[in-house]
Amino acid sequence: MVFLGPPWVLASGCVMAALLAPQQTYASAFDVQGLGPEGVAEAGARTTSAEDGGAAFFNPGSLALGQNAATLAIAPIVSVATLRAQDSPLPFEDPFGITLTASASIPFEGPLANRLRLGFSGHFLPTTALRLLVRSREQPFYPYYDNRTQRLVAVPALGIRVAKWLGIGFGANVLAGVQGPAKLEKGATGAPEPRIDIAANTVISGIFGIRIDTTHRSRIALVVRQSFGIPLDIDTTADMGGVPLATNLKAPSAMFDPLTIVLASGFDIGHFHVEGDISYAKWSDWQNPFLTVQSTLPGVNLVSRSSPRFFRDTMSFRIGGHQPWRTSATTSLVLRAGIAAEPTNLAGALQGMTNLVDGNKLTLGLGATFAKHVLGKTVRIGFGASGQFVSGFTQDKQPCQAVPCPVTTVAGPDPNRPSTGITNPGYPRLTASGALFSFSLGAGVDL
Amino acid sequence: MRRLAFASVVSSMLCTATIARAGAPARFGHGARSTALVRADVADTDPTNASVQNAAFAAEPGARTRVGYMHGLFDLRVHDQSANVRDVAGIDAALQIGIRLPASFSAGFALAAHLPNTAIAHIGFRPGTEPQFFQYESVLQRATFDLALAARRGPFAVGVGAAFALDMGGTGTTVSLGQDAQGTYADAASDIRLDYRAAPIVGLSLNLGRAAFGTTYRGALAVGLAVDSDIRIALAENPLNGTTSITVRGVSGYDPARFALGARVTVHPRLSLHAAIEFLRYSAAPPPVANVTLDVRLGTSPGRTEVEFVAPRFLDVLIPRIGLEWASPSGRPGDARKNDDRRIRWAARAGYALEPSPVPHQRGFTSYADATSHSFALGAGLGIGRFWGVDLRFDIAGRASVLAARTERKASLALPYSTYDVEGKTFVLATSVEGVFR
Amino acid sequence: MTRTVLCGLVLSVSACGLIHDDEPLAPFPSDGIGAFQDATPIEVCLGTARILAPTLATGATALCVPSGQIERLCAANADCTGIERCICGRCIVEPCQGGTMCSGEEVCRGKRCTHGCAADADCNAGERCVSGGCARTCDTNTDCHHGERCDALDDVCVVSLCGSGGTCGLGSECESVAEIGELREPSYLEDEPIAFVELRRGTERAIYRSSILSPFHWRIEPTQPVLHIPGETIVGAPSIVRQGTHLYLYAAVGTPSRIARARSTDDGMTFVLDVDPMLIATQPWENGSVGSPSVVDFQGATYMFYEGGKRAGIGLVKIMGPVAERTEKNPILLPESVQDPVFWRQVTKVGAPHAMVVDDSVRLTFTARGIEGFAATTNDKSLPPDVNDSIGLAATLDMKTFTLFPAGPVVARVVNLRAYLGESEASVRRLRNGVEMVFVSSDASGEANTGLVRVLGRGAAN
Repeated sequence: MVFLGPPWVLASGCVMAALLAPQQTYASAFDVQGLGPEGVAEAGARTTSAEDGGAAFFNPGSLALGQNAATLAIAPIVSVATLRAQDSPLPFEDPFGITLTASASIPFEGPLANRLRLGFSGHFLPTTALRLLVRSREQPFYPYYDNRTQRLVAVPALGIRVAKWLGIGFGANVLAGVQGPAKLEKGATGAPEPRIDIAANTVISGIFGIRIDTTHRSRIALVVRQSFGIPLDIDTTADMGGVPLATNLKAPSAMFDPLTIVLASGFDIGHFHVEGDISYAKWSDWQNPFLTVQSTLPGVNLVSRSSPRFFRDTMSFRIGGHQPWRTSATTSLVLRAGIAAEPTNLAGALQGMTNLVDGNKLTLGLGATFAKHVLGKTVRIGFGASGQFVSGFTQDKQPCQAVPCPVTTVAGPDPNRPSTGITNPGYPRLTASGALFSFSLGAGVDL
Repeated sequence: MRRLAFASVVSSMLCTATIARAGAPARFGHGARSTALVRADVADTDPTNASVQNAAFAAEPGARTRVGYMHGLFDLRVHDQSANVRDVAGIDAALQIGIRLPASFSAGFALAAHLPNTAIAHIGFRPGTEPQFFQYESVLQRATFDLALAARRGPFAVGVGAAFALDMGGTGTTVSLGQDAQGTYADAASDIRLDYRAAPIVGLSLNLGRAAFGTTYRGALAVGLAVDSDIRIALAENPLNGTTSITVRGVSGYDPARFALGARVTVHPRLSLHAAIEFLRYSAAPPPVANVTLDVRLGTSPGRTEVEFVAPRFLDVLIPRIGLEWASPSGRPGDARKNDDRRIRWAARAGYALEPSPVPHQRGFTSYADATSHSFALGAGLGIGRFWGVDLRFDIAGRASVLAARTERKASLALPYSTYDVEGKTFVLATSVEGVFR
Repeated sequence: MTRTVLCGLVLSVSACGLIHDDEPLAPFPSDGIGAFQDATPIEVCLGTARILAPTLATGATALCVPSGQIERLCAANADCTGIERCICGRCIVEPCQGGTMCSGEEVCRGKRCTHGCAADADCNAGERCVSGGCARTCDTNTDCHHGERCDALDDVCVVSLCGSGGTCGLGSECESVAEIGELREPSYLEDEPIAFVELRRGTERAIYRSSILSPFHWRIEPTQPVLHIPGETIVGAPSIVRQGTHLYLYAAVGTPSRIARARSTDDGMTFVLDVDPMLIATQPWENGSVGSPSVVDFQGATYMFYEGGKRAGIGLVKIMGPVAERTEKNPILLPESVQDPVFWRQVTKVGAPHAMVVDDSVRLTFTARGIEGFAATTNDKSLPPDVNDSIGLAATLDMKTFTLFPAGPVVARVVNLRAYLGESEASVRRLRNGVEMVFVSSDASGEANTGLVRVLGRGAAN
């Protein structure tokens, strides 16, 4: 057993750094829809079992302990949502994407031979790299689902096989925040001319994973994914007929994903593999899913109203497993299933103007993978389906009785009679429920 | 096969580099060798540079990866005042994999990415009546990504690929400023999309040994901006009550279609002469400034003056490039090695390019600044042999460009910048390290 | 070693967009042809008093300051406390009378601008509501704002006006805070921190020299007019040019107006008038008067632009020693030649020229009266734009052919969506990076003068 001391860690860090590809990357589609047919079928409980490219997201430490065979897989995924709020359907925007995963050992020789393994997990939208969709405060929507998947996602990772039984890995989620001024200035023509200087600055956060194979048939793993989101900060200034207008739009974390810590344990019972994951997600760091507006007009300064703390931390549980069968000398079939339970991330605070909805979620997954050896390579066709059922949400809104109105109440236009003429869509009662179904069909090859 | 697998992983990572375009690599070169040869290496480029210089070279057998860094300093001046053009700097990363196939065929692919230090992307527009070096601003401040696939049989190779960019659009942003019983409030909703755009890349090469020829074509690419903003105001007794719609349309950082022909002649076993001529189709360029329209529907809507800038009538240009490469007796640093060949290899390089300006005589309110540029480059490479299964090579280059002084005098004295001088210098330093896996 | 070098190289360059560049796209300075930004008023002080146009007068020009009350120096209102304002470099309350409008949300109560109130609770700690305005409680004068005294009977700070509003008692001195007059025809002295300006008080007009303490603060020094002409009460429209060690002042003198020249050897503190006038009206278009001179040295000769009649047009003469010869084409600009069917309509007047040499050309800034804007609209009707004064520009290479800026005025303001303001009598000069312009601000009619304002060209730094 070779001990990987600091020089080797440094070398692996170098390679990872050298190969970092700053992209609009994020893991949301993997969290919400699932990663590949296997991830969909096993309800995401793949922290100890994923050793292919999907391990870049599930656990870079598992990536390190993968077989030396290189893998490449592509799998379209589509989701159908039956989410509703106030008896109106809530669309699941951009439900179709394509997942691409790949893994391979870096072909070093000598001391580094078969020590370093690269992995990649990506989610691509067909025509769009990013769609930033921020709702107005009154609009009812599920912050858990809304605008968390409309993004090109790429997670490159490097796994280091420290020992035959120990793998550590590092992945990078790289985002780009958007900030800068957009001004309308008076030009030499006398007409307004724009000066726009918007930059997409890189925001980076990491995934760290470790897997320990305690025995040939059991393993434990720990994964930490840093929280991140897209920061937005746009200043616009304009002059409208001699009246200045200045507006700042800010979102500290659009398309937010929380700090997530996953502790997993996997067992092989005969050929049957089962894994249980416990995840902690620090949703409480998410201020809110809205744009903060600060606008200056002559004699008036307007700022978005403050909101209560919407979100709370959650603990979720996943169990997944798969059973392979060798159907012939060159073919095999793997059946997969999984179940996950995740409580709502809404803290239950009474909302005023806003109408965020969510519920406890139960996910059931099922799927299969068919593999065949062709020309010395293994080709796989996989299918996975899952249904995530969201429990009902109900909240009775409180009308404001007298000014000044608390932020947890809704009010009409008349300050003398604030409880009348209320047009908030969630008043008097906000209700929501629904489900999200995801289907993924993919193909891959072990090179 | 391991190399192929490894490369496929790396290529997947690089694939998702967003907001990619030809930008800085197309101007200064991708990698230190190409920079030192002022991009005259169309007929004999490094395989890792295939997707930028000539896609046909992606078919070279082997697996190569290159990482480098470039930094460009600009001192560009209009009428003796600095134009405040940002420096450009970032990482250049590239990968190339080629495999031998039966019947003297080989095939491969190559990826190249340029990743700026300060931002992945810049969408920038200056006011239309402000002097601006449009060739040196937004177009260079962006991450770029180019992909090429190629096949080769014998001396002839052909490659195709794509360069990628993103447009910014969507239904836009709505800002609502209002008041209710709780007081005033400000709210906003936004729907912004970044859609993919791609331009084709095609390359051909013919290697006859002592001479080689190459040709390459890349389509035009830019970042389009189409953003609508609605500002709805409903406040007590405010003159701006109503809706103001602001529409901004523009094309930032236009990179023209380009076609290049190149040749390489080995005049001596250790001396190669590279030459290329490149055609850039700037005549199809849209205005590099944004157009704004205001639709104001207030209680009292002010009278407005709006301006839309006409097409700039940029000129197509032909750029001649010439480069020299003098190598060590043991060969060039990038050439293939036998397993037991541990000799140090080196190369010294120099290049010159004459880059005419596409900016025509200025006549109206706009004052685009540019001038014919003379570029000189020097560089060196060092191949140090194999370590842990990787043949390592280092390259460095410096390129200095001088803008020939140019004076613009518009027909009307009473136009902004009716007379102005343009001058400047740029300096680019590039370093790279390449590894070849066997 | 190799590994270390490799890793160091890679790590050192692995920035990948992580280095945030917060520096925005720096604007390139305008060359002074259009693209002027927002106007900022200039405070011009005569002694301790700020010169206020009659339309801005608060009805009180001086107040009694208790002896020994120490004033605080300031550069801006933010340097002062409470209701004090920074007036001519020191913090002092702003006196007012009657129904005068105070700035911001303040009201005129107790003869000074202060915060309005209905009860003591509406005021800050240590203040009381007195007659609808907040006033500090006090034991001594030192508890009060500068310019207030402590009323021993009510234990609140009060203001006493003086000057035309009364006299001060023992223990106080009358300090002037406002001088009522119209500032006109400003003229920068090249790139020096000096300007000359005409001050109209009643029917009298005189030329004063100002030190430019900062871009928005001028101080009249000396406090006496720099040019005294016996028997003349109208001396104005200065144009100043330095030639060698001498300063030459060209001014409009008398009624009907003629143009005279004076010379200074003490840096503009005093001038000695030439015996004969430089130019008198002789041409029909001049309507019997010539004024508003602007002198410039160009291509080895000295030229003077002037206004004929009351903004009937702009003429040009070449100065040859003590005499001025009209150029071949005279006038060079008339209202009809400035008019444009789209950008500047119904132009009826043009005058107040200002000339500046830029490289190998001369830029002529002038005032014209017309309509540059477009109608505002409400739900049911169209609101036509007001006729107003605006600043135009023409340029020439040879003093014969003048080319107009093709998009109407180079400076024209609108406020509150449809209210056009007047801009006239501009003076322009180049800064190290950009240009600045000072002009007379008024309402659209041109009758209500509101003082001097300064605008910067886009991208210029103060």
